[in-house]
Amino acid sequence: MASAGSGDEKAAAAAMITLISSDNEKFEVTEATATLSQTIRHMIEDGCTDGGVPLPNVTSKILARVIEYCKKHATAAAGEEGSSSSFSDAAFLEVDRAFLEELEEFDDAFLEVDRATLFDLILAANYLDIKGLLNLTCQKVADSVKGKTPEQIREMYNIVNDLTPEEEAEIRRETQWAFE
Amino acid sequence: MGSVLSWNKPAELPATSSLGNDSTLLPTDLLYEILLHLPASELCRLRLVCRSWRSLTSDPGFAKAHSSRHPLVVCIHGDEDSRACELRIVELSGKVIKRVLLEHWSYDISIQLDLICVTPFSSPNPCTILNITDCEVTTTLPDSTCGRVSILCYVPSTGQYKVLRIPMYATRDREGDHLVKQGCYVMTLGAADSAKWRARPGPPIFVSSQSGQTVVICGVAYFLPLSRYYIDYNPTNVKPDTIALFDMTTEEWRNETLQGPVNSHATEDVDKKRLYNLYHYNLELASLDSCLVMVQHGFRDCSIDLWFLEDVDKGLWAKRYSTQYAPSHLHNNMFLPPYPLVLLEDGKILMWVARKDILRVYDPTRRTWADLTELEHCLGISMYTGNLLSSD
Repeated sequence: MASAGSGDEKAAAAAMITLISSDNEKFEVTEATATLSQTIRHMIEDGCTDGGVPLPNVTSKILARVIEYCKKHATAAAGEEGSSSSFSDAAFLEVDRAFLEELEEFDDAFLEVDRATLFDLILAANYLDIKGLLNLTCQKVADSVKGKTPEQIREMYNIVNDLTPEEEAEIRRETQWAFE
Repeated sequence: MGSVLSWNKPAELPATSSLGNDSTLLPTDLLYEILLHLPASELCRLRLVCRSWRSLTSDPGFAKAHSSRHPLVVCIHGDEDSRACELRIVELSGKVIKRVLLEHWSYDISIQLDLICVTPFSSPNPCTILNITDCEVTTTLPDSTCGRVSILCYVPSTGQYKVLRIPMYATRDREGDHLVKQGCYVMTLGAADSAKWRARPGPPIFVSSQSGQTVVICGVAYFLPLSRYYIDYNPTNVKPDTIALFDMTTEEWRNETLQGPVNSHATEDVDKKRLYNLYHYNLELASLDSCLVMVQHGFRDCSIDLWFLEDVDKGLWAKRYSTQYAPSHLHNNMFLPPYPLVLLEDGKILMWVARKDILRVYDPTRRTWADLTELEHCLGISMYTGNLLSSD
């Protein structure tokens, strides 16, 4: 990543990016962390990150959480690049596995948020195009729906049932197997 | 963009707070993302939530994205005690989402989109073709004198389904000596003459029509040589990895057989008996990512190599995966090599370990294996290639 020799520190410093939340809070992150977002990656590639990257759709509260996620997973991504070149090394695989477990624990803890925050994280992950975070948060909402009755879901998410009794009967008929 | 998923607003927050109406809603494309994480059985039930959930989950584009993320397997489940045999559609979690009781004890299935051809064990019982969306038998294949195992094939260019059979038969030559030959019969489903088998020229080599030895991809059926008769009937230039191709559109065999990647270096004087012993069980054909794959099992070192056919005309193969697995695949001294079923979205490969009846996942980046689920009493298995969500 960083170029070799005396320029190491300088390269690391140069690879810092400033992210600016909708409420004008500034966050300094490494390029490796920031580029987990495809949106920011493209901005960096286009060379338009001088003076900071304004993110008008993301509040400082949510951006702080997103950065927390990206920091953790950027380390994971760096670890994986190393692993593919030395996968036959059994000792390395052990380390790898321990790290993966740690990452899973992190993700579980990360998702312990109220629904408002979870939805904001989904919107942010979508806007910033962070595939892993979008998957993780969407899975969490999907899990909350799993096994629930349609009535329960409508109640949970304030959804109005606009289906006529005829349409409901039609759905049951079409996909009878799913109701058995 | 319509907003269809919202949460219950916390009571203590006034409606004009920063968590006002705008931010309490998720746009449709994010509901799409969320629903993609649910299995098909849940989604069909949840169509009852409201109109937008229904239309979203019935959309063909959604259905396509969903099926690649949530692959389904079809298997024949045979209960030895009750002798009951059923066709099951199973999620990778092991959850059975559809069952169809089969009339006869069956072992072989051939699947193309929503149609499934089932071959029963004993010969007077006919093969049947079922439509999985309504679980109805659409066709009962006539005349078992045309052989047993039926290979179902969807022909993309015409939109037709055809069934192919390669029966063995004995005849005599002019001198009255016994001869064994292989025939070839094709039937078009749903055509005016659908109850009839059409005789086509026999294959250029003796081929095996067992599952694992035969694969249908994009209207072409690929066959490995028939090993049982390999020594006696196939000429010396037929190697264990020689592949015969049958074009289901033109209903012709390709003149040139395709040379596999494995045994091309074998010399003429290689002991055929030895080749037979070495290769009889260790080559299989599979279809991954709509590409023909030759599966090479190394029994001594528990290895598996997957060769992808990159160019059929030039006969170019690439070994994209090569790995080893724990000797636990040995079971009662029987070797149980994994068979690749499908490439999953995350780059992992779903494998089937027969006789142990286990679905196993191989992760090529970490080179690790993990058991997914056990499908007990499974007599035959294949990936489901149709779509349960989209009604058309």
